[in-house]
Amino acid sequence: MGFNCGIVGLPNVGKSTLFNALDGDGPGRSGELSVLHDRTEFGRVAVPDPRLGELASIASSAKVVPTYLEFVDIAGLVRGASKGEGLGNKFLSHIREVDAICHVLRCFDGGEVTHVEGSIDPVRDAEIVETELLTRRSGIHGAASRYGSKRAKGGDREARAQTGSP
Amino acid sequence: MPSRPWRPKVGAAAVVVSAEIEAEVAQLDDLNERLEFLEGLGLDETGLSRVIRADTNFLISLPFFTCGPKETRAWTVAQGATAPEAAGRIHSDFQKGFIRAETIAYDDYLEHAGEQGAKDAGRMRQEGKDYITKDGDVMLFRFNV
Repeated sequence: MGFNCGIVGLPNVGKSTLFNALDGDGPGRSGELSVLHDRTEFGRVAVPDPRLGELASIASSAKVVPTYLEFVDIAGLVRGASKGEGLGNKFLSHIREVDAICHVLRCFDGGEVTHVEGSIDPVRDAEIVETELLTRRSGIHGAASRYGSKRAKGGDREARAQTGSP
Repeated sequence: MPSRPWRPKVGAAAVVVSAEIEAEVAQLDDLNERLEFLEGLGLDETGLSRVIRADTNFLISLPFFTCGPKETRAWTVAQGATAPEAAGRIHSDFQKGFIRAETIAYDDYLEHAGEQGAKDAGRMRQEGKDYITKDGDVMLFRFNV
């Protein structure tokens, strides 16, 4: 199992362009798709590590398997996504499953590519997305702890230990 | 474009990448062509390798190895993960029934020419449930389910 890295950001900031490039697949579906694609795409790249070869030659291994960094292209978030704006919650549920988040910020001008907020301001954009993620996260934690205490009441030992109930 | 400082609310590393350039590089199949193209722009590597490096350099994840005659394999686990958590990356049963991890540091493995050598030199450690996995550990997990 490789490491999962979810690519997030506002629409039209270059997420899919970046994703396709990282994936090495050439152009996929990007190019001003403000209409919000709702598919989530995966792409993985091998993580080069010279130590692998060294180990393999000592152990004379038949096979050498690198670890993978898996990129998940999560579609664009918009302000209010945690409350269900845009295709909000659907993407946010994908974010739950990743190990790391790669947050793409738009720093390029470019008149023909529209910006959802109307102007180029990476700091503001960063804050919008972070707010959405944090809001969403507290939602997840709430649900998880409710589920945990329910199970703890039912006598699940693991859940008891986690919630700290006797 | 207004410029003001921004401090992320969570620990984060930043990498500057031009998605447009990356997309163009990705179209070139030949490795040498890619390098030439990048050189022409005054770059020495692709954004992808910088992104991958940011991941390891800024200590988001770390690699550990499993090594034997069948295969040598790299695995990734979150920074600060315990030995059972590392075992769980391979198979959840390894984590559930975790007993111990026979661990050799990468440098020791190299210096003593493999598992047996490291063992004889007393460099193989028996690590338990609380052990925090380190970068480059060569691990063998003992488990029972």
